[in-house]
Amino acid sequence: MTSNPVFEARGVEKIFPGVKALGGVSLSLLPGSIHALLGENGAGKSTLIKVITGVHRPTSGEILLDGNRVHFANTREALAAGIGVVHQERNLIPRFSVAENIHLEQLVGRPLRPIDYAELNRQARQWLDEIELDVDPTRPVSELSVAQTQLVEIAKALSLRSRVLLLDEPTASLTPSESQTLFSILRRLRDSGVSLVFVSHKLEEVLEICDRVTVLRDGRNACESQSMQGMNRQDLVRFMIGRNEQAGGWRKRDVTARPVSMALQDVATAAGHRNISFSVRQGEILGLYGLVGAGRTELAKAIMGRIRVTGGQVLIDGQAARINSVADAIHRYGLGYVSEDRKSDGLVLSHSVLANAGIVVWRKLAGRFGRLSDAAVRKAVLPFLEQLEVKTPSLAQVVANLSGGNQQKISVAKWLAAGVKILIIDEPSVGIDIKTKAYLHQLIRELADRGTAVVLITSDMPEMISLADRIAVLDNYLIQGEVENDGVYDRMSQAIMNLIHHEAGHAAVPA
Amino acid sequence: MNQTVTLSARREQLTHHMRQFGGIFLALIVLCVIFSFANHRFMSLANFTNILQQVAVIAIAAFGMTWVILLGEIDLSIGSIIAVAGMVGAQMLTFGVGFVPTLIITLASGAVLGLLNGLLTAKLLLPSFIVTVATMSVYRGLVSLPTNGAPTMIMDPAWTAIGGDSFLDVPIIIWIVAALFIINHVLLSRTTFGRRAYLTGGNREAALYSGIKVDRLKILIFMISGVMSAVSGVLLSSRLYSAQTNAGMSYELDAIAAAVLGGTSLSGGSGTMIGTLVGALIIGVLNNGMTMLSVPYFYQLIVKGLVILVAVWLDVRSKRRQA
Ligand SMILES: Nc1ncnc2c1ncn2[C@@H]1O[C@H](COP(=O)(O)OP(=O)(O)OP(=O)(O)O)[C@@H](O)[C@H]1O
Ligand SMILES: [Mg+2]
Repeated sequence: MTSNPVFEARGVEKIFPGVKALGGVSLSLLPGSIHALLGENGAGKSTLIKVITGVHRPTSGEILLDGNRVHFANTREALAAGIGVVHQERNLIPRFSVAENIHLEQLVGRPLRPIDYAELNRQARQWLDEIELDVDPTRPVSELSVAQTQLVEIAKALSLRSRVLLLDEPTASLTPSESQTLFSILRRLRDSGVSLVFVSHKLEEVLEICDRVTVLRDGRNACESQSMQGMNRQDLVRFMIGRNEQAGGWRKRDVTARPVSMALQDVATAAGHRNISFSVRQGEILGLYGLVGAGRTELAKAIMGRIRVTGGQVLIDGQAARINSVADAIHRYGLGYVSEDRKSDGLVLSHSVLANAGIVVWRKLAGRFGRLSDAAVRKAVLPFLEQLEVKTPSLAQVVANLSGGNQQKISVAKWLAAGVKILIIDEPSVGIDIKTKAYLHQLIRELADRGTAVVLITSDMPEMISLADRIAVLDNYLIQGEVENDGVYDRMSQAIMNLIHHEAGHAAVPA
Repeated sequence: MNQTVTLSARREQLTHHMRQFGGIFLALIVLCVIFSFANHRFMSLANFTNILQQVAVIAIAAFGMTWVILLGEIDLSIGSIIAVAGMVGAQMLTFGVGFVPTLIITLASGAVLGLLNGLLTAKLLLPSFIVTVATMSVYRGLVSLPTNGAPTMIMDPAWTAIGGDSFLDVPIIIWIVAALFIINHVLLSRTTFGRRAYLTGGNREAALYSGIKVDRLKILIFMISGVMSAVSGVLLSSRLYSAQTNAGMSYELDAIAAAVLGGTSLSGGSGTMIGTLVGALIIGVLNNGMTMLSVPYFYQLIVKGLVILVAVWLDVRSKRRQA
């Protein structure tokens, strides 16, 4: 490759109070390339992207565009210079429509000009079609699922037609098929000369579409920007964590002798589910697979009493359960729910790590008159935070200041410490690095081994196949069938996809 | 995890508190220094007792307000509840009901009015701002029902002793403020109830998914605010030897100012009783100091407003720095 870098960052340093996020990082991007930016949770990937796009001011270091030093005081200046970005955290305005959000940058630029909504919606439709997202552009973003908002953010970034496009974990909440659609767009952009940066903890994706790579470790370059030619998964892992990956795959767990913990019989919900029936035994991990929009999260919320159940019944330990509120579900029936949306349903971003991690153990630890000390909470949650290697300067740190993956760890850890009988885990490893993912899987298996019934919702097919004992497939708010997991990836993923496309696969067992 | 996590819990908390209150304490001290230079009588035990007595009514109402604001809500009806409580007490005493039952029923009336605010907010899903603007007017109207707007004198010696007498050389009113401060502080910072309030104010959805009965919590907290206001009403009527229909008028604004000066965030999820107490003291010191310097009332209003603006601005700025 002989072309000159279109973009360069040199010796970028960023110090937050008490935390050195970046300690002299460099990055160089070539035109017409997809550049992987890798590193563990808290390595500094998002911080680097925020420095490049003018969100954060670097403590020191320089940024060059086409070989000229540039300086972005804010995000709009970066945009104007042709640098677009999809941040790891969603930045949409919930009450605005999809179309308004996509065109936000253009709208704020001309405050007094009337808005031609028909034209706005038409253009938005075009970008949504491009990424094959079937939502009405006039719908408010607040009604969309996590994955759908992620796709809207991507559509928004595409609509800006930037020369350099930085994507911070764009596929974190997407299923493989949505990711494939995205990849074909990214390839097309690459071929037209755009320079792309792609952050992901899913190394299969990185190996599939990236041609160059930079790896960060603890705020420094673990490798300089280089070609990915000839690199395999293990090479990337070694750069990231300094050693090889631990294998901790699927193992057969026999739970047929255990009693059924929770059973749904012909459940219908206000969200539109019909005839939902499945059961999960004590100590069993039941996977719930489906594409974005299949109704998995809504089903979880219905079980938890947040969405009305309109028909059928939910049995807990063989007894019909009357769950009218989330508090009922948790306190009367021993259910727990790890939300897929940590930011809106899981965490209080402005509170400390300790306050967040301890929420569901408060009641258990409280003494007379509800007295509770921080020390007790600390003792209960610290083991889980340590096992998941939460990277924080202290337990008093505000959660908003942690890296995305570390926030996710806390959102999950809080429920691991809760000691519930039935745990519904919705997208637990979004944004979590490969090393921690292995630990997290270990914790989930241990939880099941101790007798907890686990319902696992994940869009991450490898994760599903390495954790679940049985997989129920949901599509269009209906259960399409179940497959017994045997841990063989190709066979399982084929069987699951067959069920989604309504063909009775050979491995499918009638529900 | 970083090695620093094992840093002693105590030190962590200390630095945390320093950051949180440093500015507000400093403001209080600066004000005291300025006033004592301007008037040598300011720095005396007698005057401080005086300030505390003056500030008691506001401080107690502000403790209740702190709970409400912490939850991301607002209670504008507390000034009216102060007046209702005073009138309920005065009327019962006039009809010869004993001191203790009168006191209990007066405080209960505060709880009921708070309950109403809470039910309207939590069950009808109306914004508390609107609900309490409405009940502020309704409750204020109720005060005049028994007397057609005339004040009611209070002769009961026990009732008037609350505001006037001392116990162990310290005015009873100060004992009451101290006791209520400790109760509210412990409840907020050392119990699961307090933690639930922080959590719900910080992120309602997350609180719901953590199994917190958000509605019940909200109703309870509006009741706390009602009861605190009723206590303020008792103190005020005791000091004035009467219940007046316009008692406690616009006290909600001073209570909000005290809470916000003390670092309670109007968006919910953060705040402390210590902060609120200091906030109330700042307001008290300002009022007292300027009166001692014979600053005309309208200038006092201007200065008070500006001090609140500057203090809150400094607070917001220092928090943004840390982020
Ligand atoms: N605003 C902030 N204040 C204080 N510390 C911060 C802030 N933002 C990030 N950090 C810290 O900087 C470090 C790098 O964070 P960053 O978000 O860049 O990690 P990341 O590589 O994107 O991780 P992830 O894979 O989890 O998204 C972390 O230790 C984080 O706690
Ligand atoms: Mg990140």
